This record gives sequence, C-alpha cells and structure tokens, in this order.
Amino acid sequence: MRRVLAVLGFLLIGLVCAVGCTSGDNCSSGHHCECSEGDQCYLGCDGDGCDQSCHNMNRCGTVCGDGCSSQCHDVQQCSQSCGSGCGLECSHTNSCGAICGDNCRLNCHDTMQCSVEVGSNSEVNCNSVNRCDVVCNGNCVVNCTGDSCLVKCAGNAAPTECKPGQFACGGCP
Amino acid sequence: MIARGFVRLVLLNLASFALIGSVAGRAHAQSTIRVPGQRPAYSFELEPHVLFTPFEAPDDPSGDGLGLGVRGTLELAPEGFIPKLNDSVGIGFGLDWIHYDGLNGRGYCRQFEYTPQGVPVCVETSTHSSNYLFVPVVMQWNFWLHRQWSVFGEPGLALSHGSDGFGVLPVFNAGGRFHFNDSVALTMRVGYPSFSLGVSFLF
Repeated sequence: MRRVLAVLGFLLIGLVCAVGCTSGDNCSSGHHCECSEGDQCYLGCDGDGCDQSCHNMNRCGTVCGDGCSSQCHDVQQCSQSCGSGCGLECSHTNSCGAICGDNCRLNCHDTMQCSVEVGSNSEVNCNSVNRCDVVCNGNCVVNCTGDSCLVKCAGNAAPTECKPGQFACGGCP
Repeated sequence: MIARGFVRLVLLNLASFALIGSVAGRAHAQSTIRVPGQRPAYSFELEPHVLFTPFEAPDDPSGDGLGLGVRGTLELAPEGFIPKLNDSVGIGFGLDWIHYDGLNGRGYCRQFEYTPQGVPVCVETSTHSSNYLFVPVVMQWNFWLHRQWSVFGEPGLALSHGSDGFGVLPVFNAGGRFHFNDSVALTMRVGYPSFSLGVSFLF
C-alpha cells in the first residue's frame, strides 16, 4: 500500500507542477498582451480593447480592432495597426510603421523613422525622429519637433502649418 | 519571453528540490545514501518517455508542448564524485520530439501592408503550432537514496531543430526514480527544456 501511495504521490507532484506552470498571457479583448525578447512576434487581439506591448525584439507588431493601446519600443522593425480610437506609442526603433483609423493618438519618439497613416480626427506627435512621414485620411494634427516631418493630406492636399512644428489637415485646431 | 521563462525555471527548480527533499525524507528510514555501491548494478540505462513542457519553443512564440523521446545513459563513474556517498555519474544522450501548440494572439504576420515609404505594417496575424527535435547531451549525477528511490541532476546542452533551423540551448533537469526492482524504474524529470515521465530499463 505504501508503495502504491508513493508512486501516486510521485505522479501527483509532477502533475501539479505541470499544471501550475501553464498559465500564459491573455491576448483576448480587454487584456494585456506582451511579447519581448527573441526574433519576431506579432500580437493579435481577439476583439477590441486590447493593451498590447512589444519590446526588445528584432521584429514585432501589434494588430487590434478598436479602442486599443499599443506600445512598441527597442525593436528594430516595429509595426502597429489598429481600428478607431486607439493610442499608439513607438520609440527606440529603426522603423515604426503604423496604420490606424479615426480618432487615433500616435506618439513616435526617439527613433529613426516613423511612417504612419491615420484616419480622421487623429493626432500624431513626432519627437526626436530622423524622418516622420504622416498620411492623414481626413482631419488630423501633426506635432513635430525639428524639420523631419512630411505630412500629406487626403487627395495629396498640402497641410496647413498652424504654427512652427504643427501641421494640420482640414483646418487647425 | 526569456524573463518569464527564467521565473518558470526558478519555480520548477524549487519544485524539483522539494520533490527531492520529500523523497529523501521518506527514504531516511532505510537510507542507502551513505553506503557506496548499494544499488542496482548496471552499465546502461534505456529510458523511453513522454514529454511535457510549459516553456515556449526555442525560436517561436508558442504554447505548451507535448512529445515523446528516449534517453540512453552510460555509466561512466560508478563511484561518483563523493567517496563517502552512494553516488554515480553517467553521460546521457537523447532524442526528443516535442509538438508545441500555437499561442492565442501571438504568432506570425499573415499579411503586411506597406506605407507610402515602404515600411511594412502587419494587418493580420496568425498562430500556428510547431515541431522541434532535441538531441540532449547531459551529465547525469545520481544519488542512490534508498533501495527503491534514486534522484539525479542533469546539466548539459541540447541541439535543437525547429522552424528556424538548428540551435543550441542549455539543459537542466532534476529527476527521481522509483525502482520497482533492480532492472525497472519509473523515472520523472522536471526542468528545462521539458519535463519527462518514463520507464527506465537498467542493463
């Protein structure tokens, strides 16, 4: 009997340890999901409202529906795509590429290149960026430090320079 | 991923030490650890096993893994490293196959779109499972605690082959055996890169 109990205990310890170590990040709607270290990772969101983070990788990206937040830093090639009402931040990369819908808030800073396309009523901030290219598909405001920004409005219309370092498509705020 | 894996590794090692401690405590009454040589006589251990890992695949964002494998261990030093203890040392070679599940929400980019400046932006992701082969080479340091119980530590390296080609990764396992008789034992390992449960045949 003692022998049987010992074997069962032996197996139970292994099972408990195995089950206890299987919890992972939850990349579903409304949760935080993160990728870091390694070569590449692309985070998806099973719905809207995800909080996504990519860092310390060679290539990393986030894809989400509406109302998401995404941070990407210390990645060589960062990618962010999102629906409407998103907040995106990208820094310390070789390149940040982003496509987001309406009401997008995007901060790109301390990086080599930002290339973004945003929808109506969006705001883009580019600080300490060697080259910042923004395509606005509707009204938008672009705040830019230095002369590194190139803003294009819908239909290849020229943006309005509201004040030094601030450009707008569809009228200044 | 590495940070999370490290935390898991620490937890697993703590669990393995707890296992070893509990086994040692149970075996104290008929302990053989201070009687060198009082153990099954064998020169080769063959151990087919099933594998489980809570760790991600070496090169892929992934979920848990399940697999099969076999380990062969040659006894190199029957007297072990410590003269007054009933220990022994062998070298183990293995072949393990592990199938890793895809991890929900983390994977590869299925479709890129490009900004006017040609910067790629991923707009659709996919997850997929992956398969890896491991060839571990380890030093097995055994401690013969009791007529029916032995434990061991196995540091080493493993060659891996997966979706990104070949790689080398560290191996550390702590394990224990329940000896049914002098020739057959139930063997379990915990550690990195995988856990195992198998049957050892001692020749």
